[in-house]
Amino acid sequence: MNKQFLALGIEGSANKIGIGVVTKDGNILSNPRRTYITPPGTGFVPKETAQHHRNKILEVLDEALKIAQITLDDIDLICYTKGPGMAGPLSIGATVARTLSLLYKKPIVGVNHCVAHIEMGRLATQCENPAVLYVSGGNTQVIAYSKNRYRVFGETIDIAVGNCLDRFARLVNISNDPAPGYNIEQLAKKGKNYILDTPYVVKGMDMSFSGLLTFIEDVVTQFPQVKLPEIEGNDQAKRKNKQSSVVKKFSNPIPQDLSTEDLCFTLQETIFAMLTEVTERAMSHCESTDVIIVGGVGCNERLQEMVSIMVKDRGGKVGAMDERYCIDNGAMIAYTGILEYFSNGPTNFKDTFFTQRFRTDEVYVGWRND
Amino acid sequence: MQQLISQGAEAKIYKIQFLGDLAILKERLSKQYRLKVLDDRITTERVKTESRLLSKARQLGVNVPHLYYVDNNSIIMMFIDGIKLKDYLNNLEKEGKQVELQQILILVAQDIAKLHNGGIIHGDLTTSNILVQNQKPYFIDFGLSYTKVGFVEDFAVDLYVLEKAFLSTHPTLENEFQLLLEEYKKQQNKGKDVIEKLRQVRQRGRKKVAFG
Repeated sequence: MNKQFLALGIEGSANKIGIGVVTKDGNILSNPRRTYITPPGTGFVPKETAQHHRNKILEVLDEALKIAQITLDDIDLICYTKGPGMAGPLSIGATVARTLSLLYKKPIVGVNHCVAHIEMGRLATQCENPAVLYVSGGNTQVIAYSKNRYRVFGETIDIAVGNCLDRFARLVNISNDPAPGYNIEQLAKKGKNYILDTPYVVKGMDMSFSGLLTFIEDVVTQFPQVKLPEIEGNDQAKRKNKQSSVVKKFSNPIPQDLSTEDLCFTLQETIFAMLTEVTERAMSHCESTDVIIVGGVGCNERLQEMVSIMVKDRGGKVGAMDERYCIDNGAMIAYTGILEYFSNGPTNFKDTFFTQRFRTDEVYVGWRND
Repeated sequence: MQQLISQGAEAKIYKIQFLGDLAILKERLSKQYRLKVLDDRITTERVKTESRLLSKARQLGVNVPHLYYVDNNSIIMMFIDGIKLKDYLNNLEKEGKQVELQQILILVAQDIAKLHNGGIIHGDLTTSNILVQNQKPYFIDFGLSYTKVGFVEDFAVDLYVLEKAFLSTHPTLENEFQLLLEEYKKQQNKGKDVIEKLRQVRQRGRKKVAFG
């Protein structure tokens, strides 16, 4: 039997540390990961997240090799997330990847996290040339391919969607387990009242979410009953709330019995409508009919539903992804690393650093020539 | 008689006869994916601002379609028998007509300055949203426009949107775009501040390599 080309991918740009083993044709042999979950009312801090990754990474590596039934000697290529992401967590993946590369004398490739999401999405959904809606905790971009680059058509001009959702969850003490976005989604299903005053900010192809978050903060201040109870003894969660003395006037009255569910519902409906609108504008601009949703927020079923209604009107299809591909994982890094390796070769060892700022459109996409 | 001439993401555009004249009917599409109350709010808001700003822009001396009729989700306005600035520029570039090319961009710059001096931010300035008829630019699609006085920020973002659209469709005309900015700087009351702000706005996109 001919030995297959195997790549190991290490991902650790945010609160997840994942390692995957992938064959050249994209077959995933193993893909374990650990998530750093913080108590309600708090978020993940870079330093602590890095500590978490440092403690778990070797355990995850062992698990990945064991499930794939291989040893490190069988690996042909080491891939890691070069950026974008948080510096602390990124450094762990990069360090381990460099060490393995030197110890076992294997070529190494640094991968752009956003491009990895896109490539895994294309592989998983079998969409040849889709418009990409990339929505996660740190990124919000509408991307389309043109002339060997993934070009950003629209993006957020301030905070990312996932960040907006996470911070909202923190504000009203929604649990971070398994993920704040998932819990918001479940609550939103029971929401009925939509707050009509909610800002809806689309500037051309770009979006803004920070004003929306401030608006929600103001609503929470005036309707404190929407806050879920704090967990006892959790000192970190006692964050200072912004006490605004100004009572905000709403031009459309908000029902006095406003619930957490209503707020989740309002937030989701507004944010996802903005995302869907910008995606539609991008699709009409570059005349594509298919779209894939990647990134953690892409797991949200309401977002998938909205985008598929929009796409159906345009006679296309949406390749919504399942959790394994949407959420950060090692396999997507390994797979994209393979693509890079066979078109551009390995990354020069002195360039195997990591970087917090790494634009999607900086990557030369040598493996596509359409 | 209704002839569909284009369907964008937002609206359907028809060429119609209105009181014996050729006219454009812009009908905003309701979006099934959006919550009904939210959709109605957005549609009405956008029709309202669009029609209000169309007439305001005209008062400022900018060429825009005249407004004929407005209701909840549609606007009827003057038909402009022109071509998109995008195609116009491409044609001039192909024919090597440098002078005409610069002329039209200067006119565009002057009109944007007029809009901004009057407090109108177009919101979706692209080379597809400017038509050219008899070598004169006509601004259309005020669907994302709004008014704000005194904030250079919004003016700069407006120019930034144009710059991105312009340079992605006409990458070879970078110098000509600088000409447009120069002219804008001269004509706009706060031109210097806006161009300075534009520099900051360019740096702003997320995860750009800014320093170190």
